[in-house]
Amino acid sequence: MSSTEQGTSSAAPAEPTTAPESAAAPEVPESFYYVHGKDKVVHKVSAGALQHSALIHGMISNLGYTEEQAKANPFPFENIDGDILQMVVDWCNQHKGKPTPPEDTNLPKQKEKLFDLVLAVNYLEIKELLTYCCKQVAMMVKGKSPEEIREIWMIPTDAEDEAAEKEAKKRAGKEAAGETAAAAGDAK
Amino acid sequence: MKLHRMPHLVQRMILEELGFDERFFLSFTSKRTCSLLGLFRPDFKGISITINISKSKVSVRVQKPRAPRIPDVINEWEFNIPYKQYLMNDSPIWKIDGTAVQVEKYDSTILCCGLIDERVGSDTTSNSFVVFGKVLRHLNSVLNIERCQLCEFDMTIPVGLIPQLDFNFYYGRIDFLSGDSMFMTLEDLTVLLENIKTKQLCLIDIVLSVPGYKYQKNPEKKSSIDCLKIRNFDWVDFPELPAAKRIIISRKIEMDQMNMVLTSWVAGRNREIEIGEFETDEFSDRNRETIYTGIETHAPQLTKAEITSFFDSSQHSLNLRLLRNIVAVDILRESDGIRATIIEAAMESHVNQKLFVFVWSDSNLRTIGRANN
Repeated sequence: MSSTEQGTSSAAPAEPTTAPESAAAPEVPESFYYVHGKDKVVHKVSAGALQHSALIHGMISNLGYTEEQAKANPFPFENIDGDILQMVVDWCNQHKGKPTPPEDTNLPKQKEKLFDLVLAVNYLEIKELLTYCCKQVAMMVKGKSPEEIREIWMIPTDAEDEAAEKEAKKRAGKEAAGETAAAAGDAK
Repeated sequence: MKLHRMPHLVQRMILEELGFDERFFLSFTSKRTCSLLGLFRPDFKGISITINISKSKVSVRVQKPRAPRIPDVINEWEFNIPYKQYLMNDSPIWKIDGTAVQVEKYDSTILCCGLIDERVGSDTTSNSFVVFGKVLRHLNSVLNIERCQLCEFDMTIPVGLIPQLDFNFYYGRIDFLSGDSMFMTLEDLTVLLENIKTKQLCLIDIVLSVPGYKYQKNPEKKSSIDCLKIRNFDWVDFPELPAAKRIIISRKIEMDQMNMVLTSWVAGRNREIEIGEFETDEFSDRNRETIYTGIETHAPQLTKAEITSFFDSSQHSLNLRLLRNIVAVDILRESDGIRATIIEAAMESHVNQKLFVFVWSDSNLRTIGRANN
């Protein structure tokens, strides 16, 4: 039910191509919305599929867009990589109107992709997918030693944490000093 | 994949998916991770710690009951901490309660620990106690420990070990188990009784390493022991019992010792006690005279049904069916008029008799279904 097209988030995106409807299509024509990520590729997604995302569902309810307006104003998610948004859209389409299974084996195995997916799904508030993702993340450290867990989840050592904290304090101090100097300059 | 860069909600969801082993190992990666785990404690039931003390080492075994459906999962780890600490070549370093500890895996579930923090001095035995304390504090900070058993079969608890117990933690139950007597210094016993927080503390066979002394209660310290079980009572000062809401002494005490407990209570001491359970000789008029010497007694105000509900209450270890010849008498505390009912009862197929002290405290009266007027 989705299509993807190279385009921009400009007011009038090109007409996306639509995948063939399933045989059991609802009688009432379904409304579609458009989303794009960092790469500006616009994805056409049905309202039914978007119901998985509490964030988008809330936006749709509040905006009351007509299909024309929705087409003209794709929801921009600039903080989400295009391929990750594609994964999310695919998942929403696959699970549109269906009860979600207890496990999902189609999640990415590469840890960086999974990390980005978790952040995106959390942002978009897709509860079931977030649960699968968190299960998958937890599975990554099953049977691993503390050293292996540190590597997989990139956990800094205490010394690294302390150094980072010191650095952050130093930076905050410099910024505060800069602001004070600027304020003093303004006052003059 | 940076765990610490995940939003809080996501971190929580991930940590909730972790099994016992993964959570256990994750806690050793850094102080920050340990704090994170402390925020999201799992709902693991029945986790227990067993501390085994021997002549060469102290070990801490942490166990989670096996799930019936997955019996192959062991859910058990043991830290062996030798008194003679040594540097272990090429062993990984874990962060335990903020300190770098070398850990060597002996077999699938046994971890040998050595302290490599030079700041704590070169005394290897005290270093091992430091590690012991750190291991306990670490485990308490990330897991909900319900029960702690301290087992010692070589007669003596090493001096300085008890003060290393984690006194910030509220234990479900602490049992001191021994094949025979368990020797402890008066200082260590004092530290234990005045600092530990627990539902139940079993000091069944504790014997002072220097006999003849009694534990002197510090009146400044508030009781945090709900139930204290004692068998060997040589160290107990009867006019000033250790501070606990419920005290059970399961070895026969003399009638004059019982008199000391009650006289002291009437005079306003032994105030922490709400329920006492003592074993005495068979009751006779003469024995009763000894018990109540110098104490004004009154007709009992508890009804038979209330005494029954006292014994039936879940807090109580004895079944009413095993008791017979129940006789009750009341005494009053002089300073505030608080009442206590003293209940004597013979036990089925038992030479000794039981003497219960039921103080009319709010919680006790609630137990028997009577509001405090």
